[in-house]
Amino acid sequence: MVLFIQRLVDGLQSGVLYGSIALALVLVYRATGLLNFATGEIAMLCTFIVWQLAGGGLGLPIVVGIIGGMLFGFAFGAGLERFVIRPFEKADHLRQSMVTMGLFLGINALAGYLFTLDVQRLASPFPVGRWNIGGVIVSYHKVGSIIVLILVAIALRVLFAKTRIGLAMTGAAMNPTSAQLLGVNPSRMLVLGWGLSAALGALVGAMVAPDLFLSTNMMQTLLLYGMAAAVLGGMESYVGALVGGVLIGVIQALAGGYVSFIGTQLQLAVAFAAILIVLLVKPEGLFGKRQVERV
Amino acid sequence: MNAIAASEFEVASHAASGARPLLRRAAIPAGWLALLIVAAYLPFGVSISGLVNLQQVIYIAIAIMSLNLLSGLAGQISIGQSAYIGLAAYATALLVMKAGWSHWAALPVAVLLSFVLGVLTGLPALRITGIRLALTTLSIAIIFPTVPVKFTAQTGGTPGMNVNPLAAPESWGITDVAFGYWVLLAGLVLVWVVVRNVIDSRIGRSLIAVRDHQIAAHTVGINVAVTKVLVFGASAALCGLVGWMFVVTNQFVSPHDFSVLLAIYLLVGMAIGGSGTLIGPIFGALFIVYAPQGIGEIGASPLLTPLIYGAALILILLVLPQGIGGLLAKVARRITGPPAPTRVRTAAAAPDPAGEPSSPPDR
Repeated sequence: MVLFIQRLVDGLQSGVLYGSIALALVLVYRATGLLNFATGEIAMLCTFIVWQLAGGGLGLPIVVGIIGGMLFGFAFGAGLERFVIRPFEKADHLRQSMVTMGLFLGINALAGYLFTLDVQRLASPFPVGRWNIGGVIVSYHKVGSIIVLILVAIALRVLFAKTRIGLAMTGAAMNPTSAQLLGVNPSRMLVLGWGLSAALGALVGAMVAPDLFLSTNMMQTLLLYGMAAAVLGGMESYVGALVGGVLIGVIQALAGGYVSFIGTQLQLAVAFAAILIVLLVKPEGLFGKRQVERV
Repeated sequence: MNAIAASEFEVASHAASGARPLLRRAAIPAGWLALLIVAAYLPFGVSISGLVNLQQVIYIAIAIMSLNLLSGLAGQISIGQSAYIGLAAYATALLVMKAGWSHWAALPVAVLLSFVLGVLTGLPALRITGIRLALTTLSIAIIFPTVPVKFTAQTGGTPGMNVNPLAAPESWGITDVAFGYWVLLAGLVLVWVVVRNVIDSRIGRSLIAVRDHQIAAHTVGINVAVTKVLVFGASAALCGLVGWMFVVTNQFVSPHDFSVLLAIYLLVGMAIGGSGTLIGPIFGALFIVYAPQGIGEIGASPLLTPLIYGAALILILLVLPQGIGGLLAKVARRITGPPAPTRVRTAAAAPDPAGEPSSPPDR
């Protein structure tokens, strides 16, 4: 029982991380229908900035470093939209997605060139230590990162449901022409969406790095899980992305723990097998809307 | 996506149209023949490492063609090609090294295995399309490299395993590498001819119809489900051939060789070569194989190779959306004059309402 709860908690934490990456993907996907393959690499680059500010270089407090990294992420994401993605505004989604694959390759190489290919440590913003609740071991970092990411998800929800700017973004995503008639500039909303997505990525990176270490490849597996979570949640839904992430995290931890054949090597396969099944049974995902085509 | 069938093949069909001066009609086939003779002669003029590079160009070109078939004809992006290639490569390696088969006996088995995997992974295409389907193919690509690691005892795990070379017949008196190169070259020519003819056949046209409008295709009597699954299978079977060629060329397999990165590089190659043409994949493959060397020679850090790939990809997508192949097709059309409208080509070129002109608008 203790082991079961321990695995559940571990699964929950990785699940929240997957869900947050999925959120970053959905932020861009909803607005443009574009799957941003570079999401993970942008997050990785931002985490290196955090490391430069706090760990290796300037020695600032880690919280300041994270905020700096998120600000950099916002500017970087917004810049990418404006200068790299904008020229492809009229291209189909396939070509746009391939542009983000180009970004994926480029940013990964650039980070290795600018910073280092060696694995680095990054401090956690939370105190070192752990609770031991009846045998279940939970580190402060684990609890802290779950809480921070869930709070961010709630904040995003409020942003999009209640604030003027958030509603404008939603409107621009749903119907750019109508939004424009109401005085919303859809292009500016896209820049904003990319900026938010990258800032969120920076935060996720800073939450992951203390556990997984900091390296140029740290986000790749995570991005795959994030994509899986987004698909599971229906690609369009913020709640769905988070729930999808948690589901995948928990399935993965339990299957890897209890089925000895799966072990650690096939965990990835389990997560994706789950997606395949969901997509075959319910192609629109758990929280997605059914797509109807006019003939 | 643009139709493979639409543009390139009009150029190739001139010989049959009979309406053009002999010189112009003969120019293109003669060019191909000359190129083929030069390519076949290369083992006598190129170093061994140079030949290995050329072999890599050949199998990467076929891999890009398989991708082209899927996205050009079926309108579907696949990020799973690396898994089909890897499956066939590992099947070949295991059959040759553990079961003692010859390379030749392993070839049909490897191709068949990839075909079956392709059909299985094509099944979701019956219900989902677009980016979601791309993600299911991505999941195959992610899962595959973990399988050899799981069965380390048989496959050698992460470090990989060596495979005996494909031996040249002794009476020929040539090196194994030269023989392997000829085998691969013959394979490329064969694939080229088959793909070209399939595109022009009833099957090819039903594929295009399904891509452009599923429901309309259904109403004219095309079995949409079978067609969709079959194109996945065919694309994967081509990848099976590529996997076999990989083993012949490199005499080595490891999980790292078949990671998602391979699938992404193939997409880069497709974009650079142009997704609408038959010649495009060769340019894409040339870029993939020789760009890293070129980067090394101009003194840039090899760390930056992916950056150059990425930048090249974005630039080409921006300035040359049809890729190098598309550009060449346009040039070729200038030389040979506008193509005569024959019944098949126009039928294939016409139904592309998706906005992107599949045949260039220069007439």
